[in-house]
Amino acid sequence: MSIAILVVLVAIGVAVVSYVTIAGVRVSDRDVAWIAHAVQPPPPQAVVYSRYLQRHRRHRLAGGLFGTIFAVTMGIRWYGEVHIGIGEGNPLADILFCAMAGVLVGALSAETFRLSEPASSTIAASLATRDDPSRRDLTKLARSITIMSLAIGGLVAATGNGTESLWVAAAGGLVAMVAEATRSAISSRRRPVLSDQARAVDLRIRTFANRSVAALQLAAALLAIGWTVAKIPAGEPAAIGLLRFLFVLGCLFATAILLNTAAPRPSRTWTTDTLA
Amino acid sequence: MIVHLDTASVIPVFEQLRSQIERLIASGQLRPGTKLPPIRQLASDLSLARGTVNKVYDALARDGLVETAGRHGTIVLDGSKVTTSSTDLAAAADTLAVVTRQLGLEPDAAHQALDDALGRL
Repeated sequence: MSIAILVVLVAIGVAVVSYVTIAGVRVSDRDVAWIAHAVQPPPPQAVVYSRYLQRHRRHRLAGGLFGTIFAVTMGIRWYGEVHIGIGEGNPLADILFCAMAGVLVGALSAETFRLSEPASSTIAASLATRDDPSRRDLTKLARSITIMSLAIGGLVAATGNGTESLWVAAAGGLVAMVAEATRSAISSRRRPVLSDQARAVDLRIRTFANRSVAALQLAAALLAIGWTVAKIPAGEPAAIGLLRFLFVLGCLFATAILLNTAAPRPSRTWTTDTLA
Repeated sequence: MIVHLDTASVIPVFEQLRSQIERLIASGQLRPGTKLPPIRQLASDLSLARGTVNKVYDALARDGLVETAGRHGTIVLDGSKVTTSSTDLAAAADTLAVVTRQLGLEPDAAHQALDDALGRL
């Protein structure tokens, strides 16, 4: 390939990434209505929602791009191939796995972002019970799957069938820890006290963040267990092989659905009419 | 049911929080059976260490004002026997009166300051 063609390809790549980056972080009125659960929230609230969504998208996109570059670099430099999805090779060369880990790190970074507060020696808090928007069902399921993949990896290693499954499960465990840290950052953020409007905005933002991170955690857990199962050395009857193939396919399908659920934007079919 | 802490005060934050919750229970604003916020949540809202809030809940439990029900959280008990509210108010009024006199202000200024403070809550 000549240098000129390479330069043109790189320029096109940079242009595409720049366009996706700029278009991806832009927040529309429809996006604000979606997260606020209100057709037209008051302008001060709309600004808060818009900034939050923009920050989330920017950090997630940066994390996802970093994960993709990491997977491509690892794949080319150490494993000689790059994948998308579960199968042969290594999860560190899997764009889907690394990009998702990057998105989780980006979500953690967005949730831990703090504006400096005005200096004051007085602090107020409410003793009233608050709504808990956390998705315990998804989180518990994700934790169980992570533990199961670690157990499978450990069992495979203990029976002398290699440690590859265990390492893959451990990588999944690492991603799960990032997700747990993100959830902790969401739940330990201070809650507003004096303004009902601020309380409502806080609840909407927490609801979105909890649902999104729980879905990402579950998606990462499914990818990890899919990889763990795929890495069990072959040699079993064809029927078991078929079951394994279907299991891995199911994991990938569920991951795709969960990634859509976790997206910091409404689905294409969502309209403000659903709020009426 | 809002608690306020002043980290610049000479009164330790532990005591500020304990006495405020005690007053809310004694006055009936926190009714028996009400669930107090989880230690972790209140600690993060007040930027305190969890141990401090835990100590406050323990102290209230020792005084029979709350009951720790394990995973079900901390529940308010009947606080009608506690009679600290009137003495607390009198002590606070004494402090306001002393400060007003020392600053050479008229009683109207004290009343206005009190109204403003109540309005801010």
